[in-house]
Amino acid sequence: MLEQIEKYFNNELSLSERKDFENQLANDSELVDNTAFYLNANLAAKNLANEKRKAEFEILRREISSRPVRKIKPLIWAMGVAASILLVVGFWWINQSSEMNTNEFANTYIHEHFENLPVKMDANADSLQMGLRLFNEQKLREAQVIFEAILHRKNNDSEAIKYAGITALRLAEYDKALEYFRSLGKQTNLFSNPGKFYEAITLMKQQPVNKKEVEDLLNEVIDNNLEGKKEAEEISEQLSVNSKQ
Amino acid sequence: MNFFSRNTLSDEAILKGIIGDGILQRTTENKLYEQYFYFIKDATFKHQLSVDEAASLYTDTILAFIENVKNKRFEGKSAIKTYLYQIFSNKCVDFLRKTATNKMSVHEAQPIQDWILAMPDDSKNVLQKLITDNEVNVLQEKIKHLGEKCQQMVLAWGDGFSDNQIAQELGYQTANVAKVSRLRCLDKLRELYRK
Repeated sequence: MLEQIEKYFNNELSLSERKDFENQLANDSELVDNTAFYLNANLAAKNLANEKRKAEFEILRREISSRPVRKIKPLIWAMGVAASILLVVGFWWINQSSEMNTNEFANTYIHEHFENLPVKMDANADSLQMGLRLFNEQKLREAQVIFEAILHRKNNDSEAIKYAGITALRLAEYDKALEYFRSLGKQTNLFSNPGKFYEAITLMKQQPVNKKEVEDLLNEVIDNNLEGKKEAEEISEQLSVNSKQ
Repeated sequence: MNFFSRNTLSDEAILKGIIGDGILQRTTENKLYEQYFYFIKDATFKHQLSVDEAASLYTDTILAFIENVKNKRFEGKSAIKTYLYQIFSNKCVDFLRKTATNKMSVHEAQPIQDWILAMPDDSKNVLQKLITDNEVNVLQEKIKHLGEKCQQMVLAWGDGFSDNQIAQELGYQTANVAKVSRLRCLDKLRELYRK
């Protein structure tokens, strides 16, 4: 019944089917209830989606607001103005066609995938789950200690390597994150290995960005059908558009 | 120095990005949010709003714009900056008016969906009575009790994603498979709702 209701609102019914639906709606209380449910559910879903996006924008606002503002001395300020005029003229055309940079793609990915990590609800309180819970409570340093302790006991534990890498990435310890992801990427016995893709994401955060290295890694993920292929394709496509402009 | 790290997106890139897929879409939206972030500070001077009030209205403005682009209501007759500023100013003025006259209502009427407008009057009237804040709030709570995958699907549907986009985002093989799964999730939601 919901499918029929959806077809009606999406204008996917023929004229006669549409008329039948409307006639039935006038006489069938169950159809009315289901139609009201469909519309209320859509509004509810829309509200929740907006709430989620608002919360994400709020995190972004805090991040933007917390960026340091440097105070500039008058002479430097005057020189800055002169230089700015030149820059504005010189780079005006560039800004007209500019696209997102690697750092921004990485930020989006990290924000969407590494804010909360999956915790098994029914799992015993083993160390890994404890580390994940701490991570999700944003106690990143404490989570890091736990993941690294696991690796101290078993240095090839792929899950612990992955989460230690993600935690280091969140803590902006990029060199450390790279070590973990490179080690993960070398493991050949995994069903699904995101090591190479996470390594690329980490490199996208490092400044200055080594675009060649990022592109090579993304291509490796795509060519070998590794985990993160879809995102790698999207980012790769954008980077190639940028480089052509 | 990286000249490109704080660059601005052209209107064309913004519009292309918002209707793009996955990571491009969200990155564009975040970039758009950042690009006109200074509107918040302007509003604290011009309308004497607190930073939090202005930020909340600014977020609403960005979300309204994104929805208008997705629904093709933004026709591109003005620059995005002008369009956003107009929405934002109107929201600030509305907010001040409501605050000044103390008419801020906790339970504002739900906007009548475009969908219902085209229906015959009898059906429209009956349905409008059944679409209430209360039912929507109950459903919002019920959605949170769905499994994670179902929640993602239902939210994406509410956000206006097509089944094709949902399939790509959530890893379903085809749009049709995503549609069947989404409708099953809605069935589950209906069961929870009627319990």
